[in-house]
Amino acid sequence: MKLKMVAQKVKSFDCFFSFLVCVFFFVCLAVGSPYFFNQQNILSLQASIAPNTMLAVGMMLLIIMGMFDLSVGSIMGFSGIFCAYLLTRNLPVIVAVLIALAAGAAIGALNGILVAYAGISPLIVTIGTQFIFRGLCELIMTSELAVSLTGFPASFLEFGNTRFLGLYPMTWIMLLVVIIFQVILMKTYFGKWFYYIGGNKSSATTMGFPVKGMTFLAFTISGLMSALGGVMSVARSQAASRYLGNGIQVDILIACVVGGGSLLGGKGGVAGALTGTIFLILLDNAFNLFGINSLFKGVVIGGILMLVVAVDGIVALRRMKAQGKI
Amino acid sequence: MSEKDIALEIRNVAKNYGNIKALRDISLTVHKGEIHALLGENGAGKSTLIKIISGEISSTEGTVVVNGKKLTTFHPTVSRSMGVAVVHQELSVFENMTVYENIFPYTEGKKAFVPKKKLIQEAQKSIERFGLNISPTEKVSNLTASAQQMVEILRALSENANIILLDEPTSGLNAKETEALMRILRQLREEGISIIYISHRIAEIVQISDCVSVLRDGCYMGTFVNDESLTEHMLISHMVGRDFEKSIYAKKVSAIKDDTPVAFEVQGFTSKKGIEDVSFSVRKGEILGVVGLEGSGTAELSRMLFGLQSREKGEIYFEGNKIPHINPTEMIRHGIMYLSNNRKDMGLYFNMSIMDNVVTPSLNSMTSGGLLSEHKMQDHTLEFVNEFSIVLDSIYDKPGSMSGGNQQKAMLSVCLGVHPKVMIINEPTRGIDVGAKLEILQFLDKLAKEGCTILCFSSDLPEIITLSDRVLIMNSGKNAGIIECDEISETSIMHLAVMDMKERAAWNENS
Repeated sequence: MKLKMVAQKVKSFDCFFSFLVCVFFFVCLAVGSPYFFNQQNILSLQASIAPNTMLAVGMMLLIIMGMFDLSVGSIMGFSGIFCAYLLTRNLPVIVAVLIALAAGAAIGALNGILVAYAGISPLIVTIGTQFIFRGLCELIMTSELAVSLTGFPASFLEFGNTRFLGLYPMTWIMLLVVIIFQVILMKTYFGKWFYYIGGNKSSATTMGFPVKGMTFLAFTISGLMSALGGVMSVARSQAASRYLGNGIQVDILIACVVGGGSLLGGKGGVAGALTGTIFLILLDNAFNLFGINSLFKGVVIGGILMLVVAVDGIVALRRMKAQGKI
Repeated sequence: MSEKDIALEIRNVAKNYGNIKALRDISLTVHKGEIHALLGENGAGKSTLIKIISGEISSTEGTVVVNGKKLTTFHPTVSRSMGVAVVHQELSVFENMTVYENIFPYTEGKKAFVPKKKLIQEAQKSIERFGLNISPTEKVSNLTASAQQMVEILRALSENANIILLDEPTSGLNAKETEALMRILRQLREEGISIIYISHRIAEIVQISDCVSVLRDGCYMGTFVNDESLTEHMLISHMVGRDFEKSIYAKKVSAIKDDTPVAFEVQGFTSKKGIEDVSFSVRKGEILGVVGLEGSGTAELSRMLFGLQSREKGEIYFEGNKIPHINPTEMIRHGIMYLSNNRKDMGLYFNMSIMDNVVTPSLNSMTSGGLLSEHKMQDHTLEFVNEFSIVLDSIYDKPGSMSGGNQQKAMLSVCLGVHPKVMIINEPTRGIDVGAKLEILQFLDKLAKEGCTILCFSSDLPEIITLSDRVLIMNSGKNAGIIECDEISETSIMHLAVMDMKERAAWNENS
């Protein structure tokens, strides 16, 4: 009886599907490829999972509220490059990192102000910031300044490359962030606000929830998380790259939808952001390890996305019809 | 009664939306431990008043005093902290959340963490109190509409408020659930809680309330103590009772002959939610008014008739032939046009010019040599501009530059461009001034005389009385009856619209 309850509970999680798929891929890879547990492979998996999950956590908070952020890749790139700049200006590591994170949060806050208080659609606003900060990345990295962005302090490189119990510090940070946000979302009133607002914005307004403030906050967190992902990437690769985070926003969006989020809002969780991201990265890994032409990757990811969204839509339609709403 | 007994006092409250006066000088007092009903037709201002008390909108003038304290800022959180809970007319549950999360959405004090176990237990208790069979951990999206409504009521009752506002709480409930609600409300009254209760079911009001305040057209008509002398008929006469002699409206004298062929016939329209077996027929050139209070299913019926909403059963016969597929394209092909009640969202294209709007359905006949002819489109539009005397600067302006009345005329022009045989019209004169209103009513009358059949869905009773040859009244999703022209009056319509079927039969026998 107890076991059955646990099973029901597990099944009711929004990320249940993506979790299953992750396990499936994991088993396939573990059985099918001798190289999967190779240390190099495990490390490279971590190095992509950790930063991407950070972005996905921020994105997921917005998705729960029925919005999204297309500027995460550009914020990631800009903050990473900005961090590299600060580090090479002889600032203490911790200060440089904090300033870079603050910059990301500030860009997110700009998105938030425009969406929440100026009433512009998240699509337009975040496409705007996406282009602005991607453009700035390109400008910086093609200028003479780019040459000087190497040679980081040793402690920063250690953050990116030492291991504790087999995992990078960034992986531990990621786990910590995911756990903290998952607890907030599931256990606190503040966390529930995301779901109330995403589920029924007009009711949430009439019931006095701070809809605008939460919108602003969610975009700011998304900016902060993207910056954290950028800093992680720079620490790991020991260099700022012009292509850091380029085009990643679509991958992150897909990871969130596969991980149980819905663009209509009201559902999802950061655990799903993690499993969705792991799924995409394992898929990528499978293409590499099995030597499949990576050009097929897009087709497979697109197909899975369509499947998830279609099932979601059909279930919702059926329910609305059963209740006589359409 | 002393000052201490007063829970809520409304003093000279008025609310204006632009030039429209939704509420004028309302003053009323609600005592502690009282069930105070608000009664009035659609648009009388009941919901507006509720929204002011609950802090969703601010009043233009006047003061609201809650538990001895004056409301200075109008915000939902402020009202709630002063002890006001509200159940809205529209279902406002969070379908993505569980039942207990819907019943207890607010923080208790400054608590950050959700005391889940405790809330589930309390939710279970309040569910049992109503004798309901819902699990507190069920997702609300999996519940039936009536269970969802019960969840919302439970939410308001669980807030420990001492003033509870219920706006049409029973519109989606069945008899058993309504009975349970009544029982709980009486219990709350014993506990000294004040309840403001809005319902269109007049029998319910007489049954439960201690006193009844009546609103009409945004004005306060008086508060009546519900002692034994209060009857449903008295209340109805306070709700209606406009002076027709002095008004602009003239009662119509129908000129439809009995042997006129039926143009439009509806059989057995039924939807999953709301509409139950509605049948009627309209003769050629007749204007059939369709009236019902909110929640009676008129809006749904009108959308179903044009295929904008799915139906479970029901056929439409047009000039004797069954229409095989009821969808907008097919209906327009048969010459049946639909005029939405919402000019902004479902009527005009506000980012295109007035001319582009007017020619929309007639584009096929506007071509010369396969291309759209500017000349033909201008002529077509100007024809309507003259016919309706639409006031505008240029037909190349956007519809937003015209007044509401002229926008409404433009919308009619759009429909008339294809020479419709049947028109389904919703609220033809909502939100427009009296002059334009009369013009539109006269025009509709003329149109019907020329042979167009009109179904007019309206909540404006005087308009219905002026316009209709017959009136169909909807009540609780059913066809409550059709009144012939010479028997149409505000009172006869209201009786069918507000009373439930059984009581009406009893009343008919007595009178």
